[in-house]
Amino acid sequence: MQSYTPDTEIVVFPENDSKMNYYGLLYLDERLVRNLKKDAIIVTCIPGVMKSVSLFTQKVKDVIMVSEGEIRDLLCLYGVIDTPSPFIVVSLDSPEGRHADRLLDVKELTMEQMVAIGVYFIIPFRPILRRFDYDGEDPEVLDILKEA
Amino acid sequence: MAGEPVKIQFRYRVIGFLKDLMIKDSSNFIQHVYFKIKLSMWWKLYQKIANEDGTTYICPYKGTGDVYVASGLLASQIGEDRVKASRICVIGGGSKKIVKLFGFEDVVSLEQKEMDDVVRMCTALGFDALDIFALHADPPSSKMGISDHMRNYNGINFMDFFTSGVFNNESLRFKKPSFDDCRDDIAKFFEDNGLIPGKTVVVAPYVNTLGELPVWVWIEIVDEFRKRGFTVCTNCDDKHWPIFGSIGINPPYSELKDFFEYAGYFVGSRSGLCDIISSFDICKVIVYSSDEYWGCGEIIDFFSMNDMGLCDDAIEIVHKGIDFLETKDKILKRVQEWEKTHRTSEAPVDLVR
Repeated sequence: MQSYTPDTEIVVFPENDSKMNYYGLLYLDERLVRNLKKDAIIVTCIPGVMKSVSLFTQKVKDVIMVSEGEIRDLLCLYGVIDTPSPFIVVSLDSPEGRHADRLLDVKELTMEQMVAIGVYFIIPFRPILRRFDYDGEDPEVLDILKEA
Repeated sequence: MAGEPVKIQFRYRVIGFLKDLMIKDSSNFIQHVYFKIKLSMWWKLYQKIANEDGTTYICPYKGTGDVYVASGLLASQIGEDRVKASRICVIGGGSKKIVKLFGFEDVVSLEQKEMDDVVRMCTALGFDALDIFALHADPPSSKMGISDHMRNYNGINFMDFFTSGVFNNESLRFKKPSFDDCRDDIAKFFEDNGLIPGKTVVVAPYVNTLGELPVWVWIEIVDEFRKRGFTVCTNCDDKHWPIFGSIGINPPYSELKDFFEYAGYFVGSRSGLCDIISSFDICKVIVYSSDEYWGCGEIIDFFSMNDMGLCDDAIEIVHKGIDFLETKDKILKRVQEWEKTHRTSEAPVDLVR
């Protein structure tokens, strides 16, 4: 397992939502640039995220697969600790107390905006248009890429 | 026993929490002690704020405007019958007075640190499980809020932030508060201090969150009004001086309506006070700085009182860079224009040379 350094962004993907995960991966490089980080470690319980990472970015140095329960514990534990955020969570309603899902579709706010601007704080925001050359047949990867 | 349901509710959540987090790793003694201390602190806090008869509402941010808008929307959401019985927790005495304008009687005032702990407790144990509802889309101490980042995107303004972001109800409409009737006291105050009813300007130069104009600009504005026959008050607390040439005032929130309507004019930098006076039938001039960005827009895009639906008659002026003299002229010109349409029985006061 690659080690964490101060130049590493830890990004948690807890949701089984292919659209959200697609935009989470699509804007990850831009997030690293804006937040002055060199690379990222992804923590997820979604196999599709792990399998798709390399199609989106080469800056992820490790993907840590954990169970759903472990992710839940991690986010729950996080609420107790009085320190600034040590990681980003690609979700609109997790951890507990986050309710950005309520803004989705309000005044036509899209999932892309919610993830790029809300989760990654990419302001100013410019949409990324990208095509993917994937000729495999893994359904979990295809599920995420269908959003492209 | 009266306290039993709350106690059971809290213990149930704590047992689940311990089971999930600590029993799995009970070998870690320090972690164990840390959580035990934390949970016992939380239990005391929970006892202090929990509502035996229903949801406890918390205002985790003490900004005047945030508390005002959240309370007005909550009163509208839950209905008049439930307002008196609902418990609402705020930070500090000032917020308590704002909440009470909307008829809430069961108001608990906490310190900032206590409120931060309430939010952390809810993040760990669950807002729903503890029957606590946060009246802010991003409680500051939750660290994980992201709604704030969406400010101004697709026209999301301060009101949307609460109607949709907090109450999940786009069509929710703000309920105006009620103020005390204290006209006799106000009239006496005006008389005692040589203030002219209907021709007094209240200036509000001091703000907490957003940008403000330099004091010398306010001195010039006050001077111009006085030259043209107005008397002037500065709304300020004991930490600030009244602007030279004006009388310092700090009326209680409940008396603001009578005071301001007796005065007739308000000129101020955008602050929470502007939200409170938005429904008053007076000449309201609000100055917005354009030097700060909120999301992808300026302050006026997010906080415009007219766009928020708090009123439709505010005179909103955007101040840019060092154009202080231009801003002063704009204020005087707009007041003069307002006079022409609202004071038809009298000749308008010539404000601009």
